[in-house]
Amino acid sequence: MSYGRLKLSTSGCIHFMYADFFSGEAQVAVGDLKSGGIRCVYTDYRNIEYGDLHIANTVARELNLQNAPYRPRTSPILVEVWVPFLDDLISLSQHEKGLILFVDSAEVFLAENRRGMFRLIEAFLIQVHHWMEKKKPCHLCFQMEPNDSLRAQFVMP
Amino acid sequence: MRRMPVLAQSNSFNDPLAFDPTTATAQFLQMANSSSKGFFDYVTDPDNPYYATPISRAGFDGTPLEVAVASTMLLIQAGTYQSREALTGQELQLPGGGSTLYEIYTVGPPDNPIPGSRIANVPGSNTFYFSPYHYNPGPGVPNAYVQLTLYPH
Repeated sequence: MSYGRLKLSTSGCIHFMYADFFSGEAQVAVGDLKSGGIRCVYTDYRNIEYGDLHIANTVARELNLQNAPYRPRTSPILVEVWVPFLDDLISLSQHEKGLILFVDSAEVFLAENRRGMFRLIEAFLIQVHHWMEKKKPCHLCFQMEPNDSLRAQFVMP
Repeated sequence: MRRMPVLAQSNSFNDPLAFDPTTATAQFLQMANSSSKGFFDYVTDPDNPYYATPISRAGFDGTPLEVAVASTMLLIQAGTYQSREALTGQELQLPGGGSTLYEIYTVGPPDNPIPGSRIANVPGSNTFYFSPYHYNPGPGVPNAYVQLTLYPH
């Protein structure tokens, strides 16, 4: 599949990317997306200190979301962080031209925190129609196999 | 045109007291008349998790925020205020659990809502849950929500 779909506002917005996704052209792809004003955010699941920092907070920090950081759920009467997170993504849709979330080491995410990964997908899908109504691209990309060229676009050596 | 009192500004994004009813919002506020009293009631049982504590009431009653909340609830009930998302009671930690679907709304003028404030409502119900601190507990709001019940109109 071509990365060109990432520039489209489409219901095909969840992607499980393998090593060959960018055909070695991640630099061109990410550069193209960014030049179109699309916010591209990268997070590597392996860098999240499990239990201390929620993946929603790492994404929120990169995007400077309005109500972040989100408090961990310390009591059953409190909402899970997904609720304020998705709500903030809705607010973001009002002033960004588009959003691409890259989650690297997704195979580790799936193996270690399957529930968290599925909740991220659910939260993302709850809010994505706000972007589609504005005809803005909004995609969630899970990098399922190592791809150093993608990582190199966001992480300084 | 009568202007509503302007509250002190705050730099916090998540501070409902930062709400400033400027001229742009005056039209929205006008429909609430001069006072929202008589539009809704609070939970009076202190053991209720959505009880409006005296601390929360002190910072809410008679303020432009109260007027905005009342106005928003009336517009929601009239079906003229756009929903933001739909979430279950389980997700929101509100009554009804996973089988009850709440619509979530901002508070205040739709094009200039009050930062962080949200209202949850089951469509058709006159019970509303106001979250002034973006789903978080805050001063006088230990469970993140205050229950408000609109009187029948």
